[in-house]
Amino acid sequence: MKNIIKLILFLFTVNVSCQVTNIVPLNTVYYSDGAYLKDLNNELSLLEGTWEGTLNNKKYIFQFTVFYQHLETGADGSYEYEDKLSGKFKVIDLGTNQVLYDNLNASNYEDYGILNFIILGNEFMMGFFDTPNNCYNQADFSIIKDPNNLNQITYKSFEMGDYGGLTPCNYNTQEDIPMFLPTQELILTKQ
Amino acid sequence: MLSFTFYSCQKDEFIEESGIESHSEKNLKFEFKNKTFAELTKETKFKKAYQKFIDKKVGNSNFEGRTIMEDQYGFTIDSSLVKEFSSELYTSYTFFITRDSLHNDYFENLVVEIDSSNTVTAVIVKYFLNSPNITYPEHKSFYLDANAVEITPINFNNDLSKVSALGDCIGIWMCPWQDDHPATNVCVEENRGDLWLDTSMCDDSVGSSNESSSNNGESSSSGGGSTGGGSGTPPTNDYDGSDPDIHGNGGGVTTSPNTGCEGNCFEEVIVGTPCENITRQTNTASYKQRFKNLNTPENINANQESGFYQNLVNGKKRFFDGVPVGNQHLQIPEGSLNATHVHNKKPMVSATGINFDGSSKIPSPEDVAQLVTKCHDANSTNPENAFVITVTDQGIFAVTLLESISQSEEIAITQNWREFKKNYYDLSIGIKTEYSTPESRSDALQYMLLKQLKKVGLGDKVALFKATIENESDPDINNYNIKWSRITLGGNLFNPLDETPCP
Repeated sequence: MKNIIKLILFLFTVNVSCQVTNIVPLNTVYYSDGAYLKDLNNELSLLEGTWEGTLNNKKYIFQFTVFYQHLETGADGSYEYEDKLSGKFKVIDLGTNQVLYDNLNASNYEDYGILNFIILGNEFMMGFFDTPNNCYNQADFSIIKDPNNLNQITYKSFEMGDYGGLTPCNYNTQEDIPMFLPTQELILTKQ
Repeated sequence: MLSFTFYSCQKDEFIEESGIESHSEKNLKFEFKNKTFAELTKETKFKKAYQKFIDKKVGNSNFEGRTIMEDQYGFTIDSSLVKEFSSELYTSYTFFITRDSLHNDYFENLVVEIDSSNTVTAVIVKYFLNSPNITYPEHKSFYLDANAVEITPINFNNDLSKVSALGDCIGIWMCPWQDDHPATNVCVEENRGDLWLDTSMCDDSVGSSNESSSNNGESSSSGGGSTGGGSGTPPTNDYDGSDPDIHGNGGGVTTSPNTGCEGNCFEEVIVGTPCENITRQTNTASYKQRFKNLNTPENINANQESGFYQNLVNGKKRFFDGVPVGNQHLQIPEGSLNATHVHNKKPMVSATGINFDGSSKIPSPEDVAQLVTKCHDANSTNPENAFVITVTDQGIFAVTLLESISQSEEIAITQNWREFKKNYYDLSIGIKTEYSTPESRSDALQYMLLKQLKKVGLGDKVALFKATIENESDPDINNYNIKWSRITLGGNLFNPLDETPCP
């Protein structure tokens, strides 16, 4: 009985501590614990789904998912919720039919490599964050939506970012770290 | 494991007392002094000599910046400690040379010598070490286990006639105490015996075959070379400080070897408050000079990062220039005690035409990673001395360690590192594009960084500091001050940041 009371108290505490305290727009910096950074304009869903395109004899498949009210907790006990647009991708060499890179089996938010930073007009500014094995390598790119053709988007403005983390990097230079994102502009079509 | 002993390398403002009294008793009219470069530039004799071969990049006479000579020969002079040796016949100034790469098997000096006719000779002397120097802190000196040197004459102003004839050996005044070692004024003051001139260090590549031994003051020259008999022989009591082989016959220079710090260069490890730690380490003349040279519009507007780091070489702290790798980012090597670098501006235009600066105006996740890994480990038992400084066009910031990070803590932080990085860049892009003034952007970035550090488990481990520069245009580096303030999270959203100036 004592344990059941303890469990109820625990669940009650967790429930209370993880309540949404206020709702603020995405990209808000100053917010209190328990805030929900919400996609108030419902823009993130525009990219949801699978998108494909071909460049330099390689087929690129992107899948974007919105994680609504994703809970983020900190080591310090802080927490907030946020609507997050995340992505994953696969690259196939059409010459050999070889799969060069495939992250499509990711299902948890943390395993998605691509994250939308901000939406500026028709532009989704994105970042790719590689795994520790690839030295937390980072790259940025943009997805441009065409308001007149919602079945096509343009991938462009690829740029390498920083790399390195707490674990030793097994590559001598950033150029040595495999990077499978397209580096040139690419039209992607909704599947 | 470092052993901690105890002469600080940070001799920025001192001038050693002369040893001339002891020598006067023996008619040895010469003296040893340690000075800073800034002090020397106030002396007419040095100024005249130095200006002969040092044309400044910037056409002024305030001795700022790297010289054409340094550029031409690819080195940088450590301005914090210059060894001056003077006699009635000549004066020599010996500078420690730093280069971009680390070497444990040799060190280099620039020796500038002025004779009584005001002829200036300048050479680079490279000492090839058989073993690391053994230090004699009591004498502010060291045992120099080197048997070969390389001497490179400096051709200044492209006018060879101004370079006096050079020999292929150098002269070093030695102190006959314990193992004979390069003399300093302490040897004279302590009456350790008659100093003697060791001329056995020769540049074999120019044909010398002098093999005289010097450790016990007895020499056995094996012929040839410009240093014949007499080299390595202790002088008589009425010796006047000159040496016929070194100076009488158009020989080489006499120098007081400079390893970049005085005697035992292991810096006394001091750990104070976070404010004291960052202030102390960035308040030496050598650090400030490097920082001043780095913090320029040219570096901020460059297309790659620039900076320097400090490493231990033979137990001595040395500054090295960082080399940008990969995508123009600066990486520091393992063993770096600290790092200082510029986040250069990255003007960007978004795909839909929005202009913004893509560079981080505060320490980046990679800077924090370098701090908690390489700098943490290099500072061994005193990680509180680790720091990484980031210079931007919108502020100068430092992240420092508040305490050691255990292995289990590091593992926990590592597990969340990817999310830390995602959140940092996610929020910082929003701040860069949505906050309209530099001040509001900077405040938001500082707040974001501190909050994300807390979330990843580094809230109690990493401190954030912000700097302002005092007397920025003062040519005297001793007046140039880097003033730090600690930035912490405020109590609430109405007061998101607290700024506490360091005393």
